[in-house]
Amino acid sequence: MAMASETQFYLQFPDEEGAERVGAQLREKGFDVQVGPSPYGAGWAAVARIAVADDELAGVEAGLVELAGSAGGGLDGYDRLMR
Amino acid sequence: MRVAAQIDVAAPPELVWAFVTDPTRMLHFMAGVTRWEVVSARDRGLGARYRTLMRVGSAEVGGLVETVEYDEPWDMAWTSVTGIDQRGRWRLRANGPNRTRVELRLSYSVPGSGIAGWITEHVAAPTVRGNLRRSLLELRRQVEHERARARAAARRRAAHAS
Repeated sequence: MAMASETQFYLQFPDEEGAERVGAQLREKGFDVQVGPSPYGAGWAAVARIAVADDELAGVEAGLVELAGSAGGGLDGYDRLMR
Repeated sequence: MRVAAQIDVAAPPELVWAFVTDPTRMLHFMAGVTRWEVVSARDRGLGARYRTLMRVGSAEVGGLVETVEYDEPWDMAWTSVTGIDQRGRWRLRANGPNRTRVELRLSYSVPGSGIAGWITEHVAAPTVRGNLRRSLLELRRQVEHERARARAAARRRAAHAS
């Protein structure tokens, strides 16, 4: 079984309401989420952290794209720490 | 310790490749990197060598690295020859028209294994991880700015020609 790696997903939203709503949904799914004004310009950002195995990454990413899209936002990359 | 970061850039892979393989641009977008000096006859491509330094906290670590993979415009990888044991890779993939998925991977181990080395690696990890994310954001800013500049110049040329 592939080892899970701590992964941080960066999500961008046009407004606070969408960011908070998606953030709450992600917390229910087990993500550790921080929401705040985007450090990269206009809008709001959510940083969602969870341990993901390599073979699960594409599926998690696709789910986040869909979820962020439901609030008019998008996924803006991720980073991973593999010990 | 291995760290990876990924981001999408609104530009074709060839333009992103021009940035990530140009040693003169490296210090302009690579967060934490304080030296990326060409020390081989060729400045890029397979076998090109660079003397590198990266700031991690109050320390600077680095050494001599060599390009060991160069598959234009998709993959470039380097590995250490001397100094800290490290490997890195740029991985570019087309992700729609004029859009590139960019991944930067870095793996490293601190000389002198054992608990001290393990602690040092793990203490450095969040800094290295943050540097990768900042590097990709700055790379994207510069590449997209260059693309916008080139397109504006092309429009001006077309207007003059008509």
